[in-house]
Order: sequence, then structure tokens, then C-alpha cells
Amino acid sequence: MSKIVVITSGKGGVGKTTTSANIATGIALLGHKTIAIDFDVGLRNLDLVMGCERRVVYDLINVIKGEAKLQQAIIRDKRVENLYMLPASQTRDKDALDPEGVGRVLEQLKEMGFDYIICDSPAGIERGAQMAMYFADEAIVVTNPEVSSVRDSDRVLGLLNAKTSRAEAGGEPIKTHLLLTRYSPAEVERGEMLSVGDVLELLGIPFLGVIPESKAVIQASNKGAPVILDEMTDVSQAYIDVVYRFLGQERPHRFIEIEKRGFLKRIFG
Amino acid sequence: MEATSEARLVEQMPAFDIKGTITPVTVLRLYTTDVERIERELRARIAPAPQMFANAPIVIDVADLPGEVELSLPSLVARLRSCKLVPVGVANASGDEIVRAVEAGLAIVQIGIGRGRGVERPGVNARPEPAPVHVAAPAPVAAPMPVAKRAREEKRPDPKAADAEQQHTLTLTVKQPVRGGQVIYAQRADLVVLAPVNAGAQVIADGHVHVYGPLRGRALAGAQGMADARVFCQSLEAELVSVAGQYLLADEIPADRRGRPTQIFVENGSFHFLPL
Repeated sequence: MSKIVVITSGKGGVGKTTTSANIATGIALLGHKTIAIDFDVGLRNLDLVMGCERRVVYDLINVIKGEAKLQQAIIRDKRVENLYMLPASQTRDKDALDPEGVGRVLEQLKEMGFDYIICDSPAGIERGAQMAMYFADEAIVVTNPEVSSVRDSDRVLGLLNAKTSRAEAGGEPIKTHLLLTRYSPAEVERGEMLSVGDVLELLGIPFLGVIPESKAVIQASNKGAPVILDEMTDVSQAYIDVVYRFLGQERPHRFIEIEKRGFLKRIFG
Repeated sequence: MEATSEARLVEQMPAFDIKGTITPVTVLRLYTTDVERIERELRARIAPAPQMFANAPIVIDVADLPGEVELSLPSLVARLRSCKLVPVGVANASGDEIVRAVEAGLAIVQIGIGRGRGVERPGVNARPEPAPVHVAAPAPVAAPMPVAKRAREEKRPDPKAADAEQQHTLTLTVKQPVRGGQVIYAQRADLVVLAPVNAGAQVIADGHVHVYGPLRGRALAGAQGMADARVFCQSLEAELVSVAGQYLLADEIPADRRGRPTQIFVENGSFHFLPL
């Protein structure tokens, strides 16, 4: 049984691509055959974050247009078994995406036995974003703890409930999850940032957890290795928790409160 | 010096603009030429809500008049004015009627496409067609209905039962949160939302708007002019509230009602916010 998951937000720069790379990597680490698809046609990034930009030959648009076979475009991750990615085109634009073509590619991926198909949505709510979400079974809505990001996520949740194949079929709606990224408990405490409670009250969907604001994310992107693999960092641990929760395991929430410096840390810190 | 140049500047500007507009107008559809009876029934009709009709423009629709007796327009106009209505035009006039309407200082108005002399009036027992109730995306802020459409929806002086029955079926219930960017319009109906209405969303009803959750977006009640329509909400955090075309922005909503269960209505032209 394959599951199509869209990582979306509406607003740009909140951490969709980072989240796509890390969740895909985490799920694959747990033994599920997983592929991450970059839907940001024209601004491809996911290949960089996943560190396979040098191996891109064909892309999603080539496959949709019949210029390449799906197998030729898929890139196998060198570090993590079971992990694959399908890059976006850098030269085309999002008009090259059409529902039939995208549907065909997703169907083929299912036949190839992928357990999880992670669709990295572009920012905005236009064609690219709508194509990324159209066939999704589940959605992870990535939000930053600030008002404009929350409002955009709200807009996207409305679209997920209206402009997707599940919504049009009138069957079971898309399962939505909230992921709060770039969270800083210290700023929340100072009243400079919305708290988890504020955001949950506004959006009212199941909560996957927080990813703390961290320099490690940028360092990891530049290195081209998803931060989840750098297990010493709190961001890695946060993403590991999120992956487990997404797969249905209960885990206590962390990184929401300011960390009390422990006795040992105060001595050796 | 400065005053003169300012005056010159004013003179250079055009004296006026001419703009087309669509305004809702109440239509008085006549079935008799007995002006005395018309006045009597009209007074009884507006007595319960005199404010709603005060200085309202009225179009006199003569399509359904029996041909035998001539209607005394000057007398009717005087009687309407005495009821504080402002007759502005005559609809479906023909021949001599047009001349007499113009003489009485009234405009000739086009309403009710396809209506006219000889078109059969629906029987007294004919039930109004079930009104379409739908979730749709109308114009961002519901515009007043064109005159023609409005005219067709005016209530007939038929038994009240039909009206009551019609109003009874008309409530649109929404159970899902209304998210930013979504518009829900309860046409000719009340709207009940059993979930939050988030910032950037719009909930619109021709009747009342009830929100059993926080109201953070825009709520427009009485979108087609129902002046006694109200907005009810569990927590008033709205960006805008409107009743029958009048509206208030977030900053104008009394601060002491913010975040509280509140009902909102317009009386004597001003907004009232009462605790629920």
C-alpha cells in the first residue's frame, strides 16, 4: 500500500524542502521504500538538500513529457538504503505540470513498490502547489510560529479540503498534520513568537511536533546531507520524533519549553 | 494668494462624475387601482418595521393591474409619500401610463424581464420554487442584487403560510472550519457555522449568521438588505462585520466585546453589540 504525502505550507521559506528531505530520509531509515519528489519546477532545491545534485540527468518534467523513462530520472540515495528522489526541472516552469501526467507518474511509482511518496510542494497556492497536493492521501502542513505563516497554512488547509482528488471524490478527506518549524521557546517566552498553543488553536489540526530553530539546518543544507543524519543535533532528534509520530507511534513532545540546564551541563557545559 | 490658487484648482476639476450603479429598490406590485385600499394595507404592512421602509425608494409595478379602471398616479404618489416612502418610478407601464407617469414626475423603469401585461400571475396556492441553497463563491462582498432580480423576489401578498414555509427550510449548516480564502454564501438563507471562521474567510448570508466558534474572518448578514439580520458568534474576533450593507472594521468593534460571545445588529442606523 503506497501513501502519497504532500509537504506544503503556502508561505515560502518555512522549511518545506528541509522537512521533505528529512522526513523522506527518516522514513527510509526505518525500512520503508521512499521517494521524495520535487514539485518546485523551475526552482529545484530538493536535490541540493539531499546532496544528489550532481547526479541529476532527467527530471519530473522529462518523464511527464515522455522524454525520459521514470527509471532514468529517479536517483538512488548513496547514504540511505530505500531512499530515492525525483528532481524538478530547472529549465521549465510549473505550467509543464498537468494532472494527467502527474497522476501517471505517481501511479507508476506505486507499481514500483514505493511505500511512501513524499511530494515537496513549491510555495504559493498556484499550479505547482495544487499539482503537488492533488493526489495526496496525507498532508504535512509546515508552519512557522508567526501570524503570516499561520494564515497561509490556514488557506492551504482550505485548499486541501477542496481542490484535491480526495475532496472531489467526496470520500475520506486528506489526513492533515501540523509541523511547527523554526521554533524558539525563548522567543515564545518573551512574547515575540506564537506559541504551540496559539498555532494549534488557530489551525485546529493534529500536531506532529516542533522543529527547533537551529543553525544545524543551514549547515546541513549546504553540506547536502539531511540534518536528521546528524544525530547529535536537537533538530535531528526532533525530526526523528516527528517521523515516528507520523508513522503512528506516540512520543512525548520535546523542544517546546526552554531547556533547563542540567547539573552536569552546568559543570561541563 | 493661496486661497485663490486653491479656488482655481477646484475650478479645473470636473463638477461631477456620472457613474452607473445597481441599487436595490423595493417594488410595489399592484393588483388593484383602489389607492385607498393600497394605502391602508401598506400602512398595516410597514407598521411592524417602519424604520426598514423609511425614505425607501419605491418602484410602482403596474404589470398585474386589471385594465378596466385607471390608476390615479398623483393620488398614489401622495399616499406613498405620506407613508414616508419615496416613489421613484413606474415599471411595466404602457401607452398612456407612460405619459401619466412622466407627468407625475416618475421615471420609467425596466424590471422583471418577461413580465408584462397578460403574463399570468401564479395562483394563490402556487408554492414558491424551493430556493437554491448553495455554497458558492459570489462577489467578494455581496453586491446588491440587480433591480430585476430583486423585483421577482419581493413577497406577494399571498397567504403568510407560504412565506413561513419557505423561510423554514432555509438554513445552511457548515460543520468544517471555514479557512482563510474560503467564502460561504447562504443565499436566501441563514447560515450556521459549527466551527471556527478563520482570518481571511468570509461567511455571508441573506439572513442571520451564527458562528458557534471564534469568528476571526468577515461576517456579512442581511447581504441582500435584510435590515434586521444579525450576526451571532461565540468569540468576536472579526476582521469585519456587516449588516445589510453597513459595516464595521476590526478597529471599530468595541474593544470590550473582543473575544466574547456577542450578537451584532443594526438599529436606527447604528451598530449594537450585545453579550450573548
